[in-house]
Parts: sequence; structure tokens; C-alpha cells
Amino acid sequence: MTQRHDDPALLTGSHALDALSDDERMLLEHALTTSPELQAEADSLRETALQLAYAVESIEPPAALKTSLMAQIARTPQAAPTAVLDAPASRVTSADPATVAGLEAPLAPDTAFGSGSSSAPVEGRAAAAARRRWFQRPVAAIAASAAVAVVFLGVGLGVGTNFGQSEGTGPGTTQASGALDSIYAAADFKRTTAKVAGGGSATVVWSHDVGKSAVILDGVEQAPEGKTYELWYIGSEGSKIVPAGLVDGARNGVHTAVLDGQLAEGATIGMTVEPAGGSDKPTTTPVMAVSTTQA
Amino acid sequence: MLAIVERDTEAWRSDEPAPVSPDDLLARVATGDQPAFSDLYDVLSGRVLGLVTRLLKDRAQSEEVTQEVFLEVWQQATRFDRSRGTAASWVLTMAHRRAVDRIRASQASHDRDTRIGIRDLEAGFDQVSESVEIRIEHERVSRALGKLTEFQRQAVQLAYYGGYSHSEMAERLGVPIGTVKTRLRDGMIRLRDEMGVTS
Repeated sequence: MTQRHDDPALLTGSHALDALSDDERMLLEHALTTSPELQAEADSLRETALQLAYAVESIEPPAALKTSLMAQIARTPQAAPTAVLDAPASRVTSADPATVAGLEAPLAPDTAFGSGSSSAPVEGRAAAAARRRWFQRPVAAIAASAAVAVVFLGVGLGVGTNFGQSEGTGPGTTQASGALDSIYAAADFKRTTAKVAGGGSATVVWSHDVGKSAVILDGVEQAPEGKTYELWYIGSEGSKIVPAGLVDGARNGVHTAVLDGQLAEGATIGMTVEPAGGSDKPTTTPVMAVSTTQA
Repeated sequence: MLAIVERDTEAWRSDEPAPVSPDDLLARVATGDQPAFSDLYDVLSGRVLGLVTRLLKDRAQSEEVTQEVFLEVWQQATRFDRSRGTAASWVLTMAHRRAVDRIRASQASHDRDTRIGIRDLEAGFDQVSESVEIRIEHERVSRALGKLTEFQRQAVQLAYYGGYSHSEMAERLGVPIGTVKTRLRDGMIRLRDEMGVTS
């Protein structure tokens, strides 16, 4: 199969119709981040696909479905609003707009709901305190607030049994999926999912046998303009923090990144928002942190 | 006063309780408002179940997926950005994606190939609709689909209403995968332009 060498620009129609394999979707969504024209086309075709939805006859669900759902939401927490990422975003002035120029507003100010404005200063103080010492605290404390909701992952991610099932899409060995394969195939394969502050989830997969880990972001916004997400390996004492690569979010989609470097025993995997180009050490509160000793 | 009210239909209308849009409801859901969620569900659940059932056929599974979709709506409402589209679009996009994921995850996609022919899928689109609103949308979409080439229309319908991946379609239709991609993209662009969609 050779389609991974194809121009991702050909994939916008399939994308709008949810006809892409996971590998192809990653390929396209990466391409979208660098091309405003392609993003505009993808958005317009997505909107067009919705017209097809509006032409389908409605079916009223049975009353029991609603009853059960109302009970379910009463005990299900909601995702954190995107305001969390605003604090670090406003601190750095040396933003490089070129990296995201032309894309739509990176993180919408949460004025849409008017709910986040009053909590913003509190967020700022809390974030500032956390920033000083987040990596010295037990990771559980960070993760506890984040890892609340069960996230429906797996089905669309090519993990577990679903991986490689889509016959006909070929091996699709991008670098990411090649490394992912070796992690998934490892006897000590581990996986855990955490919510990402600001929305979306991160599934972290790792294998100590292979010495590698990867982060699969689902529905995580692009980093704000002039920013990037940076991954970190955090040593077990909280002392040694090693940069492990930069990663983009994936609005309404899935993005996979294999961490640079070697996964050490007891390490924690974290992700922060950093100025474009990345930092040598974290400068903001992590939006996600997962200990590899916990699962 | 009465005369003024009678003449001023705008003022008269404003006395009626204004129908709350899904967008407003979703904004309230984002603040944890459960009654608003209940209203939003009432407005959109029929469309969601209709769309999901269209793809999955199986009613029990479709109801399950519908429940998952609305649970996700509840969880992710805080992240909804109305500058990117309407609440209904957001929910239906989610519903389609989940239905397709469900198809891919199950081996049923292969059984389905033998059970449901392409002809059935196309015939399904021409079902007579009962609601006026749906019939108008239906006609609009039908007319626009009519402007596509036969191959483009077939590919678009297989993908959206059948939940086929383009590799499955390539196999099913016996054409190279690149051809399927091109048909889907050209078809969707044509459809967009015919329907005057702007984004």
C-alpha cells in the first residue's frame, strides 16, 4: 500500500465523512495544522457532511433511555473548561505568530459561556502555586483531579485488538505507529488514560521492556498561538526532568506522539504548555501527568 | 395600548416564550445545568438516534451509542465553542463519529457487507419522510446529490450512511483506494458548492 505517501490534501472528503483509518486521520490532521487553506476546506466539507445528517429521519428514543441518562449525568463530572490554559498563555510575550498564523483562534476565550471569567484570578493564583512545585508533589495529587471521567477510548485509536484490523489500509508504518506497534506488542504493555486540563484526554501507553512510551491525545486543543505542548520524563525523585519532545493538539481528533529518549523505571510522563520551540525545563503547570508506576 | 399591541406584532411575539435554541441550552449545560441538558436531549435525541440507526441498523446498539453521545455532550459541553458551529452540528458530528467507530470495532462490518448491498443503502435514502422539516432538508440534499456523478454519489452515500472506510469501499467497488479518495473529495466539494455551505 502506498497511500501514506499520497498528498494529505486528497483526504479532506474522506475525513468529513469519517471514512479515514486512524493513521490517515493523523496524517491529515497534522497537515491541517500547517495549512490554513486545507483547514478551511476540511471545515467546509465537514459542515457539508452535516447536511447529510439533517436529511435523515428522526427516531424518538424510548423514555427509559433518558431516565437512565439523567441518572448517569447526575453522577458524572464535566470536563474542565479551557480557561486553565489561559494563565500561562498570557505570561509569555515572545510569541511567534508565524507558527500558527492563519489558523482559527487557538483557544477561544471562554466568554462564550461567561462562566470562567470570575474564576480566572483564582485559577491564576492556584496555577502559580502549582507551577512552583508541581513536579515535587506526588503525581497522584495532580492526576487525581484530572482523572475523573471514564473516557471512551480504544475504539477509534487503533489500540488493543482493533489495531491492524483494518485490512486494506496496509501496514501504514509511519514512525509513530511503528514505535507504537512495538509498545503494544510488548509483554509488559501498560496503558492509562488521564484528562487533559483544558479539555480532551491523553492516553499514555508504555513498556519498560521496550523503554518507550507514547501519548495519544484525543480532542485536545491546539496549543495557544505561539505555544506548543511539550512532553517530559520526570524522574522518580522529582529531581530530574528531561524534555521528551513537542506535540500538537488535535482538535476534534486524535494525535499520537512517541516520546523522545528512554523511559526510565518509575518515571512520570507529563505534558506542559511551553513557548513555541519548547523549553529546557517546564515553565508551567502540567496539563497532564501520568506515573508509570501506577498501572 | 391594546391597539398598539395588536398592531405591533413584534411586541406581541416577544410576549410568547421564545423557543430556546440548542446553542443556548448547551451553554447552560456547560454550567452543570441538568434541566437544560434534559431539554437539549429532548430537542436533539431523535436526530441522533435517527442518524446512528441509519448507520448501525441494530436498534439496541444504536440506543447504546445515543446514550454514549449524550453522556459525552454532558462531559464536553464546557469545551463547546460556538464560533466553530452550532450545537446541533457538534452533537451530530460526534454521533456520526461514534457510530462509525462502533462499526469499525465490530467484525460486523464484514458481515454487513454480505447482508446489505449498495442498492439497499441507496434505496434507503429515498424513504418517504413524514416531517415537513426533514422533507425539505431531504429534498435539498437529494437535489444536490443529483448534481454529483453516479460514482461520486455512490461513494459519498456509502461513506456517510454506510459507515464504510475508503479502504472497504475500494474493495467493495473494485477500484483503487486513490480513486475512492478522489471521488469522495470531488463529490463533497461539489455537494458543498451545490448546497451553498460556507464555513
